[in-house]
Order: sequence, then C-alpha cells, then structure tokens
Amino acid sequence: MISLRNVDKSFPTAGGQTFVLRRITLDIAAGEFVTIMGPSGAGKSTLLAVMGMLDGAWTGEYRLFDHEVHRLDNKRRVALHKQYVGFVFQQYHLLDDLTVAENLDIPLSYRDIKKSERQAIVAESLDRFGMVAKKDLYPSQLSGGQQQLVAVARAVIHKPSLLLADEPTGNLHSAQGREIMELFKKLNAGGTTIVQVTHSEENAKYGDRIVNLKDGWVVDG
Amino acid sequence: MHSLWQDVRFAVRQLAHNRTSSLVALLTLALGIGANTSVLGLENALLFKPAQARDPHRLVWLASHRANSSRMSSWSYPAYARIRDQAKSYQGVVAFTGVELSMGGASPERVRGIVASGNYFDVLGVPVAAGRVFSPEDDGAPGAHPVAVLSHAFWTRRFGADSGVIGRTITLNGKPYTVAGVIGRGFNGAEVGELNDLWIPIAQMSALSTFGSQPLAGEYNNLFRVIGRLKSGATIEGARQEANALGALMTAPDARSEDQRSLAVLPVAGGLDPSNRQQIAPVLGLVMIVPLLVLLVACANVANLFLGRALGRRKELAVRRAIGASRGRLVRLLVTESVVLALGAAVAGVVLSSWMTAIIANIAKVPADIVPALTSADPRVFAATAGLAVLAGMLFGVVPALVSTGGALSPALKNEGITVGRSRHRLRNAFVVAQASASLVLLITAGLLVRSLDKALRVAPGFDPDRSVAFSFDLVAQGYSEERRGVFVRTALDRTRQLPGVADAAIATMLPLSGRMSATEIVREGVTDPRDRITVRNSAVSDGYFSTMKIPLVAGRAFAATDTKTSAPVAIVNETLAHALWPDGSALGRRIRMTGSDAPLREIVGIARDGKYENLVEGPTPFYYEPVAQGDAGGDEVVLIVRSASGDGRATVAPVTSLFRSLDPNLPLFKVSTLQENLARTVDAQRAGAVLLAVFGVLALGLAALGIYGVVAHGVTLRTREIGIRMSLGAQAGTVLAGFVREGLRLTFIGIAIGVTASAALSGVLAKFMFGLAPTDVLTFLLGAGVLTGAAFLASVFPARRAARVDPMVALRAE
Repeated sequence: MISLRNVDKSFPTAGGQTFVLRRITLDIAAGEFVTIMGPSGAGKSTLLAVMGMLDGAWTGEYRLFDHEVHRLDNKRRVALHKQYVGFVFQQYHLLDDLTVAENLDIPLSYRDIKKSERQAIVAESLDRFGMVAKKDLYPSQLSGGQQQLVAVARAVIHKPSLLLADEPTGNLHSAQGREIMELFKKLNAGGTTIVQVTHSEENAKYGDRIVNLKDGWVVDG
Repeated sequence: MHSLWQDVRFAVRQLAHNRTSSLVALLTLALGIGANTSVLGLENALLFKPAQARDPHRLVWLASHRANSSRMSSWSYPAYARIRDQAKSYQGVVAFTGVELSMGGASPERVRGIVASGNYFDVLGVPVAAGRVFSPEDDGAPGAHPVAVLSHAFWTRRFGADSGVIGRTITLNGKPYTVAGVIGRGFNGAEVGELNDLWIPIAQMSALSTFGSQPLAGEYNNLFRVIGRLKSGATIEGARQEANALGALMTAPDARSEDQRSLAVLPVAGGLDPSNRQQIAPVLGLVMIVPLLVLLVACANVANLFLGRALGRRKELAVRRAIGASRGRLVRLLVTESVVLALGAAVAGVVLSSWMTAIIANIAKVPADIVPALTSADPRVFAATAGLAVLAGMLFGVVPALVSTGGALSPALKNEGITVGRSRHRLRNAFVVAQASASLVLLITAGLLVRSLDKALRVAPGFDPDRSVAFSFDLVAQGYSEERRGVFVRTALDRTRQLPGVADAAIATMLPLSGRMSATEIVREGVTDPRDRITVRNSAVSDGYFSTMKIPLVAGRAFAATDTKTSAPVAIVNETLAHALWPDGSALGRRIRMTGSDAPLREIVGIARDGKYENLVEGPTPFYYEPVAQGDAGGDEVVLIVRSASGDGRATVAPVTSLFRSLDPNLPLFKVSTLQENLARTVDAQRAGAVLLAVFGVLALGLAALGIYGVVAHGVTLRTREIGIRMSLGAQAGTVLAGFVREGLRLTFIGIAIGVTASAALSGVLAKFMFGLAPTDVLTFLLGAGVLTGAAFLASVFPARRAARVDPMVALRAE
C-alpha cells in the first residue's frame, strides 16, 4: 500500500543542507498497524507528514496504492490525501468555533458530499463513538480524552484507508490513552491501515510492528 | 451552494468570536462605504433616478441641439408646437418653463412657479391630492381660464393643507387665479432641486408681464424645455431616427446657419435637464474619486487587520487543510468572512451616509426641502453600495487569505513559524504606505482648496459689505407701469432714508456678488465698427449708490438726484472700462452709448474703483453704471440697499418691510439678506468642496494613523522576546522606542513620497479650482506632509512606549 524509496527531506542552513529524513525506504501493507518510534528530532512526525502528503518538499519515490505520489503535482496530491488519508494529532486540532457535530461534518463538506448524506454519516458517527449527547458542545467544553475521541471520529468519518496518528495519546492520561488505542485497534481490525508515531512502549504494543528512526535514518524495522 | 451558506455561517461566527477587532473593522469600513453611499446618493439623484412620474422610463427630454455647439438648450413655442404636431413617436409632448411670481394677499411673497402646457400633468402622469390639475382645455385662448395648481408642500406651508382652498382665488402678479387643485406629495417638477410652489397654464404667460407681451411668438424666444412620453412600443432609438428625419423642421424658417438646430432625444433619468447634466456630470465624476480614496484607505486598514488575524489562525487553517480542505476552499472561507463583514459595514454605512449627506447638504447650503430627494432610499444606491461592499470585501480579503493559506502545513500544525515572514511584513508595510499616500493626496487637495478659498475670501470685493442689507422687489410682476415704477422707487428710497437707524440707502437693478448680473455692449461716440464694441457688466443705480456701497470714485462725481429723464444722459464707468475705452487718455467727459438704435449718448461723469461683480476670483471686469432715474426702474427685480448706522444691518429689516407694506400691501420683498451673506454665498461651491475634502481628508488621516498604529503595535507584540533580550543585554528604553518610531515614520515617508508625486500629477485637474495659488503650492504640500508625519509620529509613539516599558524577565519567561 505504501512504498517509500530513498526519501530524503532537508532544508538549507548556513552550514549547508540539514537533513531531517535520510534515504527512507519503507513498505507498509494494507491492513497493517505500524508504530514509528524514535527520540525527539528523529524525523518521525516529518515522515508521517510525508506519508500523509501534508509535506511536499521531499525527494525520492513514494507510491500509495498505484499512485506514484512523487510524480504528482500538489493539486493531485491534495486529491489523493482527501481520498485515502485521515489524520489524528497530538493536540487534537479541533476547530474551536465549531460544535462536535460540525467538526465531524467539515471533512465531509470538503469532499462535496450532499448535506442529507452528511447528516446521516455524522449521526452514525456520533452514535458509533458514543458522542450523541455531546454533539452540540464546543471543543472547549470537552475533556482532553473526549476531544481526542472527536478528533479520531473526524479523522475516520470519510472512511480513509490510511489513518495517520501523530502522538495521539501524548496529551491524555493513561486511561484515556488506552481508550483511544483500543479504538485504533478496532478500526484496524475493520480494515483501516494505521501508522502511529509514539514515544509510548505501551501504545506501540497495539501495533503489528515498530519502525525506529534516529537522526532521520531508519535504524530498525 | 450549501457549502457557501456553511461558509457564511462560519464567517458570522468567526466575526462574532473576534468581536472587538470585527467591530473596529466594521466601523472603519462603514465610514469608507458611508462616504461613498453619500456621494452615490447624490449622483443617483442627479443622474440616474427616474422622474417621479408614471412609467418614468418612457419619458424623454427633447432637447434643442444647436449647430456648432455642444450645449443642449431650450425651444421656442413655435418649435415646440412643430415637435408636438409632427413627431409620431410620442403619446404626448409637454413644454414648460420656470417663473418667479409675486403672490399677493395678507402676507405677500415671491413664489416659484412653472408655466406648463395644458397636457403637462396628463403626459407626466402626476397624482392629484385634491381638486383637479389643469388640462388642454385650460390652455386655450391667451388669458382664458386663469387657474393654478399648487404643489403639496406649498399647499401645506401656505394654506395649512386646507382642502377648502380649492376654488378659492389667489393673486399672482396682481391678477386673480382660481386654485384648481393640489398635486400629490413628492412631485416637484421634473428636476431635482426645483422647489416649485405652483403651476399655471401656458395660455396665462402673456398676462404675467414677466415674459414680455408675446412670449409664445417668435422663433428665437427659446423659453421652453420639452419632455415627451414615448408611445407604447416606441423606443428611444426609433424616436432618435425620427428626430433626425424631422431635423429641418426644428429650425426656424429664416434661421442663419449658426442657428440651425436639431432635436436630441435623451432619457429622463436623474433630476437634471440635458444642459445641466452636460455641465455637472464630469464634475460629479471627479467628486466620486474622493470617497473612493477614503474607502481605499479603509480597505488597506482592514486588510492589515485581517492579515494579522489570518496569520493568527494559521494553525486552524492548516488543520482544515489537513482534514481535506483545498486552498481554494479556504480562500473562499476567508474571503466570505471579509465580504460578510463588508456587507455588514454597508448596512452601517447606509445609516452613516444619511447623516453624512445631511452634513454635506448643510455645508453646501442645499435647501432643506431638497435633502430628502438626495437621501431617500433608492434600490439603485443600495445595489451600488452592496456592490461596492462586495468589491471592498474582496479587495481587503483576498490578499490576507492567499498569504495565510500558503506555505507548509507541518510547521503550522505544530504552531511553528508563527512569526511573520519577511514577505508578510512587506505586505503589511505596503498597506500602510498605500494608506499614507492616499490620505496625503486628500490632505494636500483639501489644503489647496482651503487655502485657495481663504485667498478668495481675502479679496477686496470693491465695496464695503458691512452693516448693509439688500431687499429685492419686482414691480413689473406687480403690474406697475413704467411711470408708476419710477415714482414708487423714488418714494421708497426717500422714505427709507428717513427711517431711524438708516445711514444711507440706494437702488440698483443689479447688485454685485448677489448671484445675478446682466451684460450689455458699449461703444465710444462715433464708433461704427462692431469689433470696437466692449462687452460689459452693467447696473442702473440711484443717487447715493456709491456712498451706500462705499465704492470709491477715482475721478468725477457720483449720480445725483438731479440726474433724471429730463437732464443730460450720464454714465459712470469703472477703471477697467475707462482704460478699455480710452487707453491713452481720461474717459471723464467723453461720451458712450449702449449698442442699439435708440440708446442715447451718455457723458461719463465719474470713474469708479474696480470691484468684483460675479465672483471673488474673476479678473478685472469692465463695468458700466447709468442712473436708474434715466432709464426704466423695471426689470424683473430691483434691489434696495440699506446701510445701517450700526450693527449688522438686520435691525432695518422690520422697518423697511413695514414701510413697503404701507406703500403697497401686495408687493412682496424677497431675497432679504445682508451683503456679508451675499458675499459668503459666492464661495458656497468652493467652501462645500473644501469642507467635503477636508472632512474626508481628516477621516483618511485618522484611518492611516490607525493603520500605522496597528503595524507598529503588531511589531512590538511579535518582537517582545527580542526586546526582552536586547534590554537584558543593556539596550536603553529610549533606543527601543526610537527604533519603533523610526519604523512607523519610515513607512510614512515612503507614503509621503508617493502621495506628493500623485498630488503633483493631479495638479492639472486641480488647476481650474485654484485661486491665487499654484496647484503645486509648496507650503500646502509641506503642511500636508507635516500633518501626516505628526499623526504618524503619535500613532507610532504609543505602541513604541509599550515596547520601551517591556520587562526583560517577563518577556523572556512569556516566550
């Protein structure tokens, strides 16, 4: 499903190029649950951003399903991202001015889904994630765990094949973290490929395998 | 469509969330949009608003277009009759002309009337409030059916809206008229600015004595404006083709080639007739530039505000992109916010504009009755305002939207790169520079007009306007014979001089700087070559005129009471005319006469000091005086000038009015005003322009200062940590303060350079409005630049002081 070959990412500094990712070669099959680990500054989040096509300034080859991402222009990458990818962030990144229901609705509206259809999908999602009672609350009225739950629901509401999670439990206490990881496990069992970045050994155990990064290099996995 | 509605809902929520900054932006824009709405309202009323008549789009002006002239003018009655009878495109064709009438009764007054063809009301389609309007039957034989139709406003003011007035007799120019009816509220003639009190049929014209004995005869008696109503199915294009075909009919059979006329067909839109429209439309185009500049300054301000806000929302925008929003969609969201704000500002602007229009109308001394026509709600103005608001919203919204939605997503999601990049700094600075330069253009232009006006007001008018009041009266309209006029004038003058408090009094047919002046041609004795005729302004004046007006005589004598019809004809000329007549010698004792076969030769007995006659900025103008007692103390208006012994002269108004009432209870006195008021009125247009520009200039200056304040304050916020570091390393508060003030002033100076260049480029346009001042007047430019620099300094110093007071430890901890 994902195939990265010799992916480099760098930026110019006074002393020359500074590399964030070095010759990353990595394959992830459909249905896998992969954990990326490594010390701070290893390039984990950057690798996730490259896979999610949130970052376009890299070199090398990247294939997602049959699409040669490295050959696509930005517009087509955005389209691909819309079609396949869902993102979960450590800081949840919910839109503060929108209610829970509106936060779930917004990715669907960006995909030009009809209103009636969207309403049905949002209702189903609220039910599935147990948030019906909270649908009209704003993010600031929710706990951290509840916010991340909404963020996960939002990330998967358009049924992405690939869910990318950057430190999804980083801001949660352990019980809430476990709840989110159980949810990931369930989603993965349902067929969603998951790639998560985490520092937590415990969370890593939920995945099928671990990819270790250090100074931009894949050192293990 | 639904997603757009969703964007609108989110936009409203976002604007409400940032209440304070949204309110500042809304008010800023409302001022800019309101200024434009005011001027748009005025332009709409004058140029586009349909007439207050039935099916106004089918009404057309049928204007007279003379060969070798670009001016549109009026028609004689025979020409009107040919158009009415020959042209087939019209359901009806009306002719009308304005007239000032003396209305008698318990409180006589001068009223404004329209003399109109019998089909006037029927063709225009004017509603009736009471009684009936007149019809073609009332317009038969000259003098038959003396009826009058009152305007609603006049009926209310003069008769307390009493319907019992129908059928009652009123006296106009000494003749009885039966009030036939009252027309509906709102209609006041086909033109804006007309304050007509009543209408009478054309058949009454000769009885009015104002137009001479045969106003309807003669091909060159071009008194009438003509409007036609197109037949159902007829088009303007078709009417124009017909007018071309009828071309030959429009000209008098014996016309000289320069009197060849054609018929121009123009839609009745706006409240100006074709001639006024031709003159005023280009000026109105120029006037529109002023509020647009104010709006530009407001837009630049709000663009900066939105840029700052959008940069603060980079993370939110990045999240939206991360969950699937395209950049285009985000730009649309942000532009929707700016357009929603601008539409809100348009609503506030429309409210503000009604106040602004009232203020402008007050400054421009527009009669209060006309203001509603300029401020009344009109869908055209609302649509133009909304269009302007949408454009403004896009103007200040697009750039911030594009800037804040570009760039890499990852740093934005991590809240990195929140410091503003160099290019964004440049953009904010560019907005401030644009504001500074636009406001400087307005300040300099306002400064030039104000200084020019000041110079005009310092011009000596050639007479002393203090302690004097002018009273006009019209003996011809009252039906006085020439002989009775002479007797009345003499009696009135003598008895006025005996009134207590009156120092002196005189009579003149034309008063300088009163807005009314006549011209004639003069030749030296024995001269026959028409090329030696001199066109002069002239007035017939009584004895005591020069002493009452305090116009010095540089040679000879003033007119005396003994200069009568039985004595030798005499004249007085001003210095310019004396020099023009006899450049190499004295004019005193020489003889001149007006052109025309029966004009007597007059000996020049005095030479008067030059003065100003039509306006304060005119050049040397030849002027000619003759004794009123040696001519006809008639004309349609005679002025009594009364100089008081003390005060401003108003104390004489009551006794003079009372004296005239005793001489003729039916004779109205009108245009009663002090000479100082007359003088001030001559620069009304310049004053209105100068004040309008000054108001808009100060508004733009305030907005520009706000913009500079915003940019410097934003810079202080962004660089708080840097300031903390610098101060912890030993930087002095004064150095930090100076650094920020310098930044504010640097942008201002760039704006000044551009503004000065733009103002200099505009000098050609301004030259025609200047008096005694070059449109590139250095002092005015320096003053404008100085005021802007001062405002920029103040706008920079306040946020800079905040920077200078930063506590290094707090700043570093905060970061």
